[in-house]
Amino acid sequence: MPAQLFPSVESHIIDANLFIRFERHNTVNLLERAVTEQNLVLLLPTRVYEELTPESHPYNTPPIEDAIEAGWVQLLEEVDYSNPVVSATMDLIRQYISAATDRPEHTIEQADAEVGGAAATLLEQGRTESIGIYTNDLPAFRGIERALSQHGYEDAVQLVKAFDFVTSVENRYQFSG
Amino acid sequence: MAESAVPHSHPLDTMLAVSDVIRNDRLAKLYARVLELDSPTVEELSEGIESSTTTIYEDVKHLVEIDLLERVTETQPYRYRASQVDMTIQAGGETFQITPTLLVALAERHSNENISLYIDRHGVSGLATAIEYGRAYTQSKMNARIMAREQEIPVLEAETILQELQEIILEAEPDISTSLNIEELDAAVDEQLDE
Repeated sequence: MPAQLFPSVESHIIDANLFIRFERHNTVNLLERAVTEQNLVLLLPTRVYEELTPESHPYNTPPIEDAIEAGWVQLLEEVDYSNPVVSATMDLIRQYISAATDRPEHTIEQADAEVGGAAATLLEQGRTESIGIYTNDLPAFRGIERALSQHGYEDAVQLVKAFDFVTSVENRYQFSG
Repeated sequence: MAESAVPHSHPLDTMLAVSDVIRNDRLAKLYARVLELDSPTVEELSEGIESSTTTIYEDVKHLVEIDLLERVTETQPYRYRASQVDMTIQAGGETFQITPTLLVALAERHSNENISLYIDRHGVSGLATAIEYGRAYTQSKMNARIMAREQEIPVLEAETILQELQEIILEAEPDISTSLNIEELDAAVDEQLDE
């Protein structure tokens, strides 16, 4: 039995860097197979959706639109900025991005922390108890993890390293019919 | 002796040699291939390159003359190694770094659509800037959102070129540190929060 591709969590939130890697490799179809075989749905923060569908893009239809249409990716509602746990989480993520990239904190936008904001929103609304976060942005993930554990969500989020995940999906499905 | 940029050359000679390679795709590809194979012979080089062996001999000779390749064996068949180009150009208040990574990225422009598109839009200087972002990205010290904002390009374009360049950087700069020190980062954040 091969190792599990997906962590055993209730929800799966993806960052732009994950999806772009599949786009670059022309392997979005393999991601679709992996996700649908497990009856999963990948959750997409609004901001990430906007990043994947810029005004000028090289496709007829951005692959993410097809994925949403087909139902295996679901667009999340706006982050609940007014919730104090959500905003505190996003603030700490900004601190992490600022420290890691050596940029002043005020230059890091609130929206840069939206993946974490989306996770905090889902937890605060009681819509999930465990979340896998698929990203390559390790400082941001560390911010998410630390902020959430400060607000009573110990071990609620799991990092799925985006590029390792892409490699695993590709290795599993590339040559299988 | 320190491993300086192209040994024994005057910086101006280095600059002319590098600009030769930047403008000549065949030389750039050859340089990249020597870097990839570590210290190949001409025969080994010719396996992955379309040019005739005669052309490769001439190009190798030229690259040795301008000090971008050095012969590392005394007896035939000779083996060649790529010199570690490391040049910093300062002009108009901006600094611009030329490294083997830039030459390798340039050499890939014909086989890599994303790199080719990026050069069309932002020039060789834009690519050199992107490599600096790519190096930080490889070290978990940069993300596409910040690059996009600072370079005024879409996040999709920034993430795409960062991922392309990361692959080249990992090959061309194998000593680069890719592990993020979480404890150090935690401490830096705590310090920031205390201020």
